[in-house]
Amino acid sequence: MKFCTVKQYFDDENNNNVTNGIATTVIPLPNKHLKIKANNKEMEQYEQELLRNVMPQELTKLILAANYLNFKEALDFFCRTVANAIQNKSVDYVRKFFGLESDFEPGEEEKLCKEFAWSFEGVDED
Amino acid sequence: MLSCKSLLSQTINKKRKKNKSKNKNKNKNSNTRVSKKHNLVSKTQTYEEEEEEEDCEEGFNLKTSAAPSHTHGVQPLGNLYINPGSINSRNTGLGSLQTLTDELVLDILGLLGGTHLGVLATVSKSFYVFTNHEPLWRNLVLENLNAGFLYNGSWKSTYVAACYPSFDVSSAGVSGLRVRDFYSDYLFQSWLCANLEMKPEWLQRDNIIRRKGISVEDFVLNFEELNKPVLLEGCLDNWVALQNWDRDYLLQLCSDVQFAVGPVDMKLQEYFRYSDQVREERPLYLFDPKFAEKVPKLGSEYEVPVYFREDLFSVLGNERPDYRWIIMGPAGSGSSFHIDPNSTSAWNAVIRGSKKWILFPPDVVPPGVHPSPDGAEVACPVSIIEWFMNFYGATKNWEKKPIECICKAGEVIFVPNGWWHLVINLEESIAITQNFVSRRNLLNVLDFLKRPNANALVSGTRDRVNLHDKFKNAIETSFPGTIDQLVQKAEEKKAQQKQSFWDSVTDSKVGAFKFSF
Repeated sequence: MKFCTVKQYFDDENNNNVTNGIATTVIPLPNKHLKIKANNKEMEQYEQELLRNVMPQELTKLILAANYLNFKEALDFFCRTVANAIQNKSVDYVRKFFGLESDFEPGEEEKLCKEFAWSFEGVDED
Repeated sequence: MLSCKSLLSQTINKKRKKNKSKNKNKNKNSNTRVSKKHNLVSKTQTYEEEEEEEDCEEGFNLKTSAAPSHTHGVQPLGNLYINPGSINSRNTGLGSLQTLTDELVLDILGLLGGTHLGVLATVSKSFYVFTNHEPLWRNLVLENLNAGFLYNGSWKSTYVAACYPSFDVSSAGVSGLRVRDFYSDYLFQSWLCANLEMKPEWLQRDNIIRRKGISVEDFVLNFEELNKPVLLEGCLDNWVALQNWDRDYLLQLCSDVQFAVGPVDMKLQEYFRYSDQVREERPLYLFDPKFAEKVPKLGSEYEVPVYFREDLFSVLGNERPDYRWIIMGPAGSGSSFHIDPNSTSAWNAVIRGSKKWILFPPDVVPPGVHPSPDGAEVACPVSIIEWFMNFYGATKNWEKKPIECICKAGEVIFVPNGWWHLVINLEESIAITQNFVSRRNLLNVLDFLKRPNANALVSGTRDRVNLHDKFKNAIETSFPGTIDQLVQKAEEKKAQQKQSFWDSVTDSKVGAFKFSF
């Protein structure tokens, strides 16, 4: 049974871990999975559609919800989505994506770029 | 649930509140089939690197060549709470990811390739620390470079040296950037477990029965049939291996032979290079079931101790499951709690070095271990050291204490079938182990192989599903009537036990009941 925590969730009235919006996204997933079980491609398309316009913060909440509900397939999928979103992207893009700023001391960043010079070939243009 | 004690020196306040916070974390199954449950450490765990590491009852000792603190300056969460007004650069540097647990962040990073991790390292201090987490690089090496790699001081360095050979790893150097204000229990714990020595009190209890020079009959009657572990001394005295097998000898013999080391193969000399340099929570160890086929001389320099010569799987010839391994591992390597496959019994002989053993009987699940109902999966804490830190203490107050011992060179331990066991090498060690089936546990093994989920549980052979039938038929052919004899004996024993139970519940003093009409 994939959803041992779900029953508990519905019983729990004051549940801060999973807001209603997130629940409506995550919970229908296993039914959809069963319906299109044989056809992986269709599932992929469905998932891409679902998350096309989701902001990183929402993704984070989805990950936490899937983790809390112990729903491995959804968790894997959401994590992969984040990974795919930042794969091969530049440092500035990643900072914008997660909404953070560089907090290195002056000079530290240059040193690091030297240490990781090998990794900067083939990065996407923003 | 973890209660990690702090690294204390005598000047640190020893009063610790039992205020444990429990976070619900679930690790995804990554490469291994074992799922791990990992809860965060007590909030009050603190660590002061400035203080001298004095020999304190409550503290831990770091390995002698360990750095005095986390490579990049990671501190446990407890330190954050004793520094009022501090910001955790872990969070500020993760942006919208900060609400995720450390394990979830690492799960995401685990999906990225080496180049992507390298780029991310320059995003922020927090990303720098996370992307430098060695297990990430270890996975990348083991998954992508199994054709061959030379361990180069760290898994990250190994990966870069192998994938970017023109890049001079040493000159650009490890910047060794130390971040301030980064607090994380998970990452700190990971470093701690990689660098701790075994505490003396974990090694004190030695309550296994020891025997020397007993007869085979004595062993079978008093240990094998009763399914009791025993440590046997003096039965390796005629092993050539005991005289010869040291590092130099083995290198001379088979330095370029590929041996199985975890999920990959490595030449022996490459393996020694790794084991000399390694500093991690779960060091890889050499564990090869075909060592005697690869190097026949190795097979010829030891022999099965006389107590274990009955080896019924041998009726299957080449189709038998894996049954003998050479084990070589650095200090700290070993195996967390498990039960040996196929319901077999085992013996483990130490040729060099020493091993600490902890054993629980089949019906006692060790603390901190969570087998799935069908027994196919076992969830354990991340590393052996972590088990000792967080669960060993619980065994002191249990009625059912484990059997423990340190097995030294020249000694053999008998591990009866079904027993849980954990082993850790206390120093670099070489050993031979074999699993076997004798008439004493033949019926158990047949039952095990008959189980509906046998193909998941049965190990060491390619033809898992048919093993039961093959084995049973082969036994009938070579030893006709044996199985029936054993079944009959077992039923007689059961009947006897029933009788005595009945006797015990009736009042034998009263005369037999009689109807009287």
